[in-house]
Amino acid sequence: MAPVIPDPDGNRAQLVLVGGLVIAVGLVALAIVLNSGIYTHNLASRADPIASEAVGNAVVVDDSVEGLVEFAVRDDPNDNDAQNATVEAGVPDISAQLSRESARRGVLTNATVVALFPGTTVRQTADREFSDGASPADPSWEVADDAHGIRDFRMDVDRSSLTDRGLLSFPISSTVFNVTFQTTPDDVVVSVYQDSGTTAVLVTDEATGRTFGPCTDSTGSRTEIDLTGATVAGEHCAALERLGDLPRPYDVEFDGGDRAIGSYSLVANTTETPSGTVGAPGDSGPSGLETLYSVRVDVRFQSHRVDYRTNVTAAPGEPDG
Amino acid sequence: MRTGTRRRADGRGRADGRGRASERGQAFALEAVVASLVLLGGLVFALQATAVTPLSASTSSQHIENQQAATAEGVLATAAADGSLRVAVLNWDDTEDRFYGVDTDQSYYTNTAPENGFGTLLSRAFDGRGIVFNVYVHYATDRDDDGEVDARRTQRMVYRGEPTDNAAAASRVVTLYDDEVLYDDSESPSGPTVSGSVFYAEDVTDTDAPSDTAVYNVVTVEVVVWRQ
Repeated sequence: MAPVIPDPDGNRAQLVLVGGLVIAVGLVALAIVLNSGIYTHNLASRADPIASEAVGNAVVVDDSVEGLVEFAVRDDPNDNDAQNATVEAGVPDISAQLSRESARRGVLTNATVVALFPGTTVRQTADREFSDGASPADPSWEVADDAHGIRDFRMDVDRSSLTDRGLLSFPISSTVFNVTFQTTPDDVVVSVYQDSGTTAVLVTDEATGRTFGPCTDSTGSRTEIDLTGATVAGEHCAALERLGDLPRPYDVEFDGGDRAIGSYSLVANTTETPSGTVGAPGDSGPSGLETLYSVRVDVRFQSHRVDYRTNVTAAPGEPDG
Repeated sequence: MRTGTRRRADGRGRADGRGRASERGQAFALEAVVASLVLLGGLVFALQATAVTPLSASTSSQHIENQQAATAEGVLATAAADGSLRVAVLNWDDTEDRFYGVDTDQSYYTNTAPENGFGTLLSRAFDGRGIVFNVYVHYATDRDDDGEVDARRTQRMVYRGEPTDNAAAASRVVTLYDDEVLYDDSESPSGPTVSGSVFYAEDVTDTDAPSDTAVYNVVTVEVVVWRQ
């Protein structure tokens, strides 16, 4: 073999060969380093479908059981036992059908009922004052006592019946119709009144004295207010979102019920009877009905990499629910 | 070769050195050829290895697939939140046995998005960007009528052809209950109550419960998107 070091005669072929090898190996190494970077970036940018699926499964179970609770209440109003039976039969069916679907992707899922929480619906279907059902009617009365939550709280008010702001003194809440959430340390008050021909909804936190809103509506002659869904006439009302953070339990009170006319409905997480007088189910005035408030469901999700278990509470129409 | 020629010009050891010099020349020539081959091979290998670049199909499509899947998930989540997904599933014409607004012989949309809120969301998200979508509704079925679920079937809602290999998919579950009613072409719940005779999905129970449950069917809406 020829010497590697060039001899005095100028033999350099070996050097060329070694140089060629070094350059080739260097190029290959560079290619590997560059490609490993690209491939790592590629892997890192991929979504992890299994991890997000675990959370998504809990959301799907929550949505499905919420629908089931609504169905049970629609199907058997004022019969808590029948509502419970409907939900207890339906959840295994939902679980089995979801499990069949997820098994196709190599994932095991399961949902079982842990607990059912009875509640009370208080509603008024006819257009009348927001006073209680006594004779004479009391305009300031407790709608829900010691409630561990409120869901589906909607009211539909006639704007012309509301007190006009132009005649009001300060603070506003002392002279208009209020829904008061009696919490510790202080109340949160939702005032509903009329301001220059529009319906206004103002939230006052009495602990700090701050007010939020008002949210207004000038369309038509009536205004639909969803206190738990935080909307006024279908438009989002950020002020009402504060009702989702109230410390529980709390009482719900109507004050100045004779300063508003309309209908309302709410479901309270309590079986305590309201202090005010309410009629029997079917009355168009204020009435109380047995209603399933929420269902706690144990949700399991198991794949070859993720084992996820959580409890979800299905309460349709609850703030942040 | 050059060195051999020069040696011969020196005139040293002509009789005994000529053969050895000739052999070394061939060895140098061979080494040069091998060196050039190694160099060339190294270059070719390096070029082949760098075929996967940030702009080549396999990596760039990954990002696009991620984006398309996220968009499809967003559309489904929005439609589920505002109720339009449920309306789209139940927007079934029971007399024509197809979705409302379909103007072909098929039961599903082929050229346009569904003519409802969900279809509007799909159009706004994908139409005009060179992105095509299919929408399928997968539902449980009881083929042998023994009261138990034994298969899942698929009803196409939108079908615009076979997706490519780089298609992305997202899905969302909608649970239907026994008192659901079909929605008409103006998206009003004015149709008949769902049953196996008026709707593509039938009432099934997937448990050992002795009687029918309140759950009608659990359907999965799947959106598949890909670039044209």
